[in-house]
Amino acid sequence: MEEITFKVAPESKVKKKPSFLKPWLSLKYLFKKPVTIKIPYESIEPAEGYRGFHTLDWNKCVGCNFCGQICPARAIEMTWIEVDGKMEKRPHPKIDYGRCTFCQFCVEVCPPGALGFVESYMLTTEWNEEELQLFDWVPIHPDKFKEIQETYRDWRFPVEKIKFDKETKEVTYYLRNGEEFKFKILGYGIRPPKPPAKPTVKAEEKAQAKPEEKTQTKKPELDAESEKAD
Amino acid sequence: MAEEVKATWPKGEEIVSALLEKAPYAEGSVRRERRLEFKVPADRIVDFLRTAKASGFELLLQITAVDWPNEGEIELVYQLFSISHGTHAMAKTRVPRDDARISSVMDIYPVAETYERDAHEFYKVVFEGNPKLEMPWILEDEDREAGVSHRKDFDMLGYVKKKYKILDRFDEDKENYVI
Amino acid sequence: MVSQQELIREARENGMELLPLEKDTYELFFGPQHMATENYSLILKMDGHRVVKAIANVGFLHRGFEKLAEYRPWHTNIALLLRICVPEPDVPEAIYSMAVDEIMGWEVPDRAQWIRTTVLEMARVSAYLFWIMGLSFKLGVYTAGQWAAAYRERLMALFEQLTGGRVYHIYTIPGGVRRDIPGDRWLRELKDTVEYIKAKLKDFDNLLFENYIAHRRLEGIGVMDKKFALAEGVTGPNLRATGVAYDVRRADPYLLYPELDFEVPVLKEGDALARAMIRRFELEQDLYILEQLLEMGPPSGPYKVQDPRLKNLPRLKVPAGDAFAHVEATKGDFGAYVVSDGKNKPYRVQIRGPSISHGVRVIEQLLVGARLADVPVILMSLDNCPPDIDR
Repeated sequence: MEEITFKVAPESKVKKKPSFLKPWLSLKYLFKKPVTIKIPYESIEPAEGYRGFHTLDWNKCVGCNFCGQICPARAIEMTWIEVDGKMEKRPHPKIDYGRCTFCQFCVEVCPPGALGFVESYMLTTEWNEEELQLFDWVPIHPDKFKEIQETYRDWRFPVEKIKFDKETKEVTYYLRNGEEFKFKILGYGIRPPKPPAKPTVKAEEKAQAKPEEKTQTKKPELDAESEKAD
Repeated sequence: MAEEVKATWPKGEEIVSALLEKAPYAEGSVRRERRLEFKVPADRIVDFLRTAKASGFELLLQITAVDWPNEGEIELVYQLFSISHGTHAMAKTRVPRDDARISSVMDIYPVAETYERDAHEFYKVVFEGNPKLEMPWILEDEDREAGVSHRKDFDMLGYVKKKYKILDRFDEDKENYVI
Repeated sequence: MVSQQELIREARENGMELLPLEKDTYELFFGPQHMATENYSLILKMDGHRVVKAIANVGFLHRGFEKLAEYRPWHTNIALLLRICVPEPDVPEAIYSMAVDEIMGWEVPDRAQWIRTTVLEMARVSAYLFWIMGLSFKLGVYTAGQWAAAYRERLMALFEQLTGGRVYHIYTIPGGVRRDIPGDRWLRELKDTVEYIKAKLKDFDNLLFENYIAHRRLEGIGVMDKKFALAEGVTGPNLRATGVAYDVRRADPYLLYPELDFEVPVLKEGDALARAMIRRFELEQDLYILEQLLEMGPPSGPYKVQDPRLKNLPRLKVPAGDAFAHVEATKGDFGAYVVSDGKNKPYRVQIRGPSISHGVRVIEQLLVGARLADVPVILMSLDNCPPDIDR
């Protein structure tokens, strides 16, 4: 037997009497300052730690695809990237803001802490194809993002334009502060793409890609394999 | 001033033994404080719920269908709550998967009509005696005709791909990516 | 001018069925684009301005969350399931997390319990303000609705600081919460907000809850009695308005509620006015609970379970088992039933929204005999939330 006691409010406290006159008391608000803000002369700033756009430290990222697995909206795709003619050792997440729900679980699970987020949240475009490239990007370094955010403080996307050359797969970011940033997309997925035709890169790249390729012949997916291990 | 109300809740074991006395065909156990579990044969579920309602389980919160394809069964979980005992109870019963039929409990808990429509729509369980089973519920006609169900053997990923045709990019990692 | 016969013929040709019109009877499609029904449709058979028959037509908000949850890792589902209840997204988060905690056998740390309770109460206050907005718009007292929206904004700003999101917080996770409280300043601001809203309650009373016109509009419509409400599985304020003192926070205590002091309001009338009064009183009580929580202060310690498995969220495995958890939401008894088969994804998740019981059969029966102008008011007084039904 368990005894519990709880309070039940008496009816007199819950019920209210109708009145003709009381509603008129609200007229006093005519003489008070409104609580609404006057956009665009005033604005609300997002709070510190507001879940906005992503940042990515490319050096720290190990391409483990944890972010891709935890993503509830399937917005993250691992991308193999070449910067200045040198392929990055591991794939990096490419985030599709058409799908992203800004839950930032990807940031939470990132083992080396490479993914991060900032408060900027505004991304608007007109309806043309080129601008839609903006919605699918590999995030830039947090320091650079924060620098741009601090300069403008209008919480907009740091990249003005992304140019994607379909032939050469070359991507150019035109940042808002005038800088340009170029890289090349080699392929998608967890497996490394086929080595590029250039012989100079090939030798160097093979050394890195080889051990991985070996394991993948046994079990194609990196994570399926480690799942087996634990 | 606020009126103090005293409620006495019997222990879980007492409720279970009192209920099992009236319904010897069921098995009952205490999960934890204020959580009971009963296992009832499918043909006695109506009797059991009638007994349960008479002994204080006033509310039927939900009827959950769980598909267990390996055992070839669909489990129906009747979520009951007793305000007078302050206890939640699950009455679990199993029906065969190929011929999922069970009698409706509408005349005991009228609200079961809604829950049964839901379970019928997504798990294809037929509740005999429910007049509204065939009425349109949540799914669109197109999906219903294609046989969409939440049963485990329905290839939802394949159906979504066929219907919306936009998921090709992720084909290779079907295991780890989601819909 | 097109004749009626031609209209009917044209409708038939385009695959639309029109109900054969008798002298005064006609069929009215109420929703899903109607402001009052919020993406939920009612098919009404009208005789003049009285409803003869009502059929609830649901499914416009079906996104298949229960099935989608079976394809995603355990924690990820938080970002999904909270969309079931828009005005108080913390409720689905909390019930799912509580059910998973039970299967995992996790004891949630005290600090996390305090934060969860506070967040749930803030969500209740915010949802009640949202409801005041809806009710006053339907009654035509637009001023009160605009006030409610403005005061709710303060709570949303607090949620933003705490969780990083304004509407969808994605904050409560199995094992605790995602972030710690952002310092004492947040607690002070919460205290100020509670005091501020409390002071404004008098104005709401004056304009809305003691308004003669509001009373005339609400009194005696949508009446249900105790026996009917229990049989139809109605919960929450709607059940309390019929005379049953059932509050999950007292009947099946969770989190910190056994330590908190509050009164459960009960009325016997069971009409729309009683439901509105119950909700008004509960808003007051929720502010009082928040005051108590702030006085208690957050206990020190971790805000998350210390478990090495939490480091590897995509592959976190939950042992086989099932659990049911429910909390008191502003709409009623919100429950989740979670089944695990030992994998890194749930085997089955079922969310029991309160509106599934009072949004289909109860509405169909309460609307019979009601005037057309009262239909939105009855819907709002029941606080019907269609995503609960469709999921």
